[in-house]
Amino acid sequence: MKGYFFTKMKGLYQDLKATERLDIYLSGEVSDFCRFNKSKVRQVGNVKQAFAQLHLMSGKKHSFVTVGLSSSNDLDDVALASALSTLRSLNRVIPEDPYLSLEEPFGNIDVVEPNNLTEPSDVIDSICSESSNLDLVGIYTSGSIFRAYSSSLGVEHWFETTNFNFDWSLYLRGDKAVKLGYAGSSWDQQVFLDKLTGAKAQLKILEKPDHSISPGKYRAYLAPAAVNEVMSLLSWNGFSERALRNKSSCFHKMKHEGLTLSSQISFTEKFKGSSSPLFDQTGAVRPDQVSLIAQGAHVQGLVSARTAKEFGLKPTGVDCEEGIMAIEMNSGNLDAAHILKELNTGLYISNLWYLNYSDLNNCRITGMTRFASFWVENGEIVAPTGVMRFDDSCYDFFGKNLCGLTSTQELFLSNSSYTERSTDSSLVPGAVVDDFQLTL
Amino acid sequence: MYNENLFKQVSSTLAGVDYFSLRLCDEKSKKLSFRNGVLDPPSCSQDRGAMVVVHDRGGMGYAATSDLSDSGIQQAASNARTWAHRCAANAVTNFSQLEMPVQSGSYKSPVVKHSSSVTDADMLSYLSPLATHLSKGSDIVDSVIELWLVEYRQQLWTNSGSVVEQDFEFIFPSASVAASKNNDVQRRGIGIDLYGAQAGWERLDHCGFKEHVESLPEEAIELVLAPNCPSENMDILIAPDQMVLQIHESIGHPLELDRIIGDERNYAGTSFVNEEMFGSYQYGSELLNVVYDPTMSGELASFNFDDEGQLAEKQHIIKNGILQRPIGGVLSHARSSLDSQGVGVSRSCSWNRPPIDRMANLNVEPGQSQLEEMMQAIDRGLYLKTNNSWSIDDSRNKFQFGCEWGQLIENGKLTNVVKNPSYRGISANFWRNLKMVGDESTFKVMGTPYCGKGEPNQVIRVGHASPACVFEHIDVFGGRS
Repeated sequence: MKGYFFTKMKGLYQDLKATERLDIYLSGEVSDFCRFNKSKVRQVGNVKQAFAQLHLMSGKKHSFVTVGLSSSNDLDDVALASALSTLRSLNRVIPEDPYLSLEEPFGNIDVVEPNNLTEPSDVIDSICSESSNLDLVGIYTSGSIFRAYSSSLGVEHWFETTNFNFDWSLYLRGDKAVKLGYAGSSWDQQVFLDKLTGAKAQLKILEKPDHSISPGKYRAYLAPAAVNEVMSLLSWNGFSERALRNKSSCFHKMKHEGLTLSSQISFTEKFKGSSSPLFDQTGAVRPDQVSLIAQGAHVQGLVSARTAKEFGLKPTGVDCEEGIMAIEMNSGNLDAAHILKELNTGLYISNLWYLNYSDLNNCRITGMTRFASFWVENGEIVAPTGVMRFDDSCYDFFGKNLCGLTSTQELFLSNSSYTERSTDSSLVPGAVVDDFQLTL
Repeated sequence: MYNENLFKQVSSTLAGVDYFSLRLCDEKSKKLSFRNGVLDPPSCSQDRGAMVVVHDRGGMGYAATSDLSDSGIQQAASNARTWAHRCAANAVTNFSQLEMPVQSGSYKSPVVKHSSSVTDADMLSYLSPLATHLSKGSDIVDSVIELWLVEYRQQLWTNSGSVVEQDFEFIFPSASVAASKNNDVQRRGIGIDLYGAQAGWERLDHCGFKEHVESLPEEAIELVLAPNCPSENMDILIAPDQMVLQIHESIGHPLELDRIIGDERNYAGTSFVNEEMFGSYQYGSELLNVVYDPTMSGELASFNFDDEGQLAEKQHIIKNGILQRPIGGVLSHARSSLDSQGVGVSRSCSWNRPPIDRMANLNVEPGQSQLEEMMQAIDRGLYLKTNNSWSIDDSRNKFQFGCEWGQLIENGKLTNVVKNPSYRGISANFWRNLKMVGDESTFKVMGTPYCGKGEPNQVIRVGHASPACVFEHIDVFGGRS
């Protein structure tokens, strides 16, 4: 695809007028997806797709067209010519954009990670056979992902990675289950077997009758997967500079009124070394990292090229949504191996789910516990708990009620595949908090 | 002719397999939006691709490609067959023994004036003054107005003889404005779920979009000056634009058959409903009547056939409060213990995702009560409009929903506006507290283009229509003081 894409785009640039600049961002993949239910194969197949987003700038007028590419010369010639025609037609009638950034990208990034994948059907056979007497449900995804940028100014970037992501759960009955993930560039059967063994051990605990919990305030341990869910919600406008300025960010009071989180909390967007491409959709090379919140205080937001132009800021290498892609939450001093002792008596929450803002201005969040959560007394697991709803402010559970963070962090490679497979990742610790508010 | 050629290529590649389907999708869209009175760069998309599904030797496999050349579609067909064979021994069912639908026909969205016939200049002339209106005022900190237009064409062929062609046209107008005062921010909007429809340009006039947009800044300012919603147990009157979300989350999803038989447990979740409940379970009060209705003109998920070719017909899902049947397609029904047939809801978001059970149009049928009558029946309660927060557990039972707009009802009359109104409950009890159902005059047809589900993930259009409804003894609360 690489050679085809750059050659095809160069051909397109030959048709441009002197006043036109064309930037193109390519996003594609060749993926195998296998869905499991009850340790059997529900749906399995292959998807080959590539979308080119054409951004035509005619002076200070500009517009976008995203077009599916087929890799077939004749078909793509027709599609691209039609797309360019659409863009020119739009640019003729729209006004000039005061926020168009005409920064010229530079450098040429070329990253192709090696393909070390095991044949997917072999992995699928192994998953089915090793879990044949269990109730395993989930999805195994594997294959290559590519992102590229090409500009009529001559800049070319290419990023290609090949990986797998096995997102799965082991069920006991009803909603009693253990959730796991295993992602990487090469499948290690022993790692999978170890995870399976660990999950089976947790299922044993889930066999005990539930410990009933009433709504109220509890000391709780949020395992890294639960913290990661909180981060996923916070990424929804939380760190966007545009949203911070127009007060649609949950953290707008940190920027405008000086509210703070616990001094133990720092959030940093760390592009360098992450699983995401090192260039954004405007072709700009991303910085190594951007500090968003340091020791509990607001530092800055994520700034797209358009927001930078609007407010006179420096862009931070993010796309127009200004969402997090490679967030790191700092670690603390708690020993994860002895977290039950640290928790002492309270709720061990493995996962959270379906989070949403219940009061965005005050960063109050509601959501559910999901999968294996346990009641702990005197540092020992007593019993599983039923699913519970929480409704609490981030300014409290990551603020005055935060007791500590684990000294180790866990890496999560996003399993999101809406429209396309994500390259996002996050690195977060677990957290012990007091007075975590359960409501239902 | 070109499309028939694709079918011929697939047929020749897959000669002799038990079953195959070829689904070709073609989508064009345009999005025009203004933020704070300034036009964002317009964005369009043109996407075309195909999915081949094969059932053979007991297995099932699919392959999707944007390469619609002869060699590209042949390769996809071959890949689908290879996957079917490789995983046959581990398949959840013997796919070769399934009886797949055989139907032929077509469908077209009910459109008076195709949006494609309106020039870009005319579209901008329509939106620009509204964008300026929204952005005015010292207390307004953010405003957005957007128009999203979609044309979607899908063709389905199977080796068993189905030939289905369906053409859809959608329009999604939306707007939102945020006002800030006294360190608070409140947003009032026309969500994408309110006026989205299968329709053309005429929709904007029919739904009164312009007049509604013009009222938003004043409402946002009224809201930001309002007190917080009180915390207490009271009766609530829910407007149709919040009923949409209530139906979607606590009736639609728990009744999807693939959730009930476990396919979604790792992602979207399971259900508190099981297969034994159909035909006898009291889901709601006897006033509750819910239908799967793909025939509702202009609703987002109206069609004649699902993506496996099953005929789509209106069916009762809940009748007089009793659960009748699940929302599931042919495959899920065949894998379940139920005797009933599927209801034509096996759908995919596009060519690159396989069909799964989707709720499509799920509507609460009108009752007998007028709006005035419902208010008069409440001594102390809350009127709720326009969803802005939603969360529910993975069995679709414990929910908490928030709205933009709340207004107290005292002694049968609307009184003070309150901000941050929210309520929580448990699905299994909530619908049994349905006390009054609004009549035709309160009935609105809506839906959302953003229902997420499935592995790999899919986001799809679903329709919901509902009258206003009264529920008794509900826990309500407001924001942080």
